[in-house]
Amino acid sequence: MAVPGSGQLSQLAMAQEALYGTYGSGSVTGPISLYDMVNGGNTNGSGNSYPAINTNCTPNPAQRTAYLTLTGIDEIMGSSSFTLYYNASIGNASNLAVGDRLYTDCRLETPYVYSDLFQPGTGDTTTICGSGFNAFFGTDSNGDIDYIYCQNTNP
Amino acid sequence: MIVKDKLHKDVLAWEVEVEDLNIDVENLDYKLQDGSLFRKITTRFENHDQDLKNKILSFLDVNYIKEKVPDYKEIDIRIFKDLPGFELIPHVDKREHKAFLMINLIDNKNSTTFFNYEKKFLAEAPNKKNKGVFHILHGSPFAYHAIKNTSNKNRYTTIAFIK
Repeated sequence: MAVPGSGQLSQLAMAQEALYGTYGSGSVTGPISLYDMVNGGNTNGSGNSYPAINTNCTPNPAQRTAYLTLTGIDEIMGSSSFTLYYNASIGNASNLAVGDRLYTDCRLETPYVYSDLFQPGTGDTTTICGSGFNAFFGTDSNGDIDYIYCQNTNP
Repeated sequence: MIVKDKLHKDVLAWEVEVEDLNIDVENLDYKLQDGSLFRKITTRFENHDQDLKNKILSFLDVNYIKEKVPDYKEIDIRIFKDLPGFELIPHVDKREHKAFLMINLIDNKNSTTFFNYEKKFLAEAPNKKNKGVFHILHGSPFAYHAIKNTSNKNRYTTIAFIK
């Protein structure tokens, strides 16, 4: 079962989904804390202890700077198709420029330092270049982009 | 230096062969590559003997390089020892590199591989001593290149970066 994608939502039913995967049925002890449902556990006073989900970016609500993602990054020295993060105030990935800092984590705490990277463009907001172009960029010892450009890969 | 066949119709790369450079590569002094080519490098070492580099340059056909890359400004000779496990995934070099010429200094197990824009494998350069490949970068058709030393022995090459 899943939480419906449209229509009226029920907090009780979402708690049932979080605990049992049965949206709309199942025994739930109140109170129901949205914080506990999102972050797992019952530290905010819930009657049930909720499972941890999507732990990459807890805690929620965010006590951190809003982030955006760069997806499908390759590093020439051997890693491929990973994700990096940057400050959401920059906007779409196509706005990234020399001096912008990249991070390994969505909390924007750990800069991705001293690297040579590239990213095939797809036209999505998470890629620096459009479809048919590769972005080539690097980060310095602070994780700040120190070069960035797009190159045509069309045959 | 003899330039032979094009490696693949969709890659601006040609097989090359040079006279025996006669370099005792295993007994040279190597230092960890300084990251000026690729950052975070830990498995590529470099020899900095300028006399040796001059000797290698004298074996290359500079007129051919000039013909293929008329606007080049520098030929930067490097001598590398790549440890087992050394890997550069499919990539292109920095923009200031216009072409490169790689020569195997021993019979290596692995050589430079080439891929199209979808990262589909196209060809592998020769891996035998005194043979190698001349590749024009950033041209059309676009091609990635890569290398991985899958053997349990060091890989020895010299690369002339045409800038």
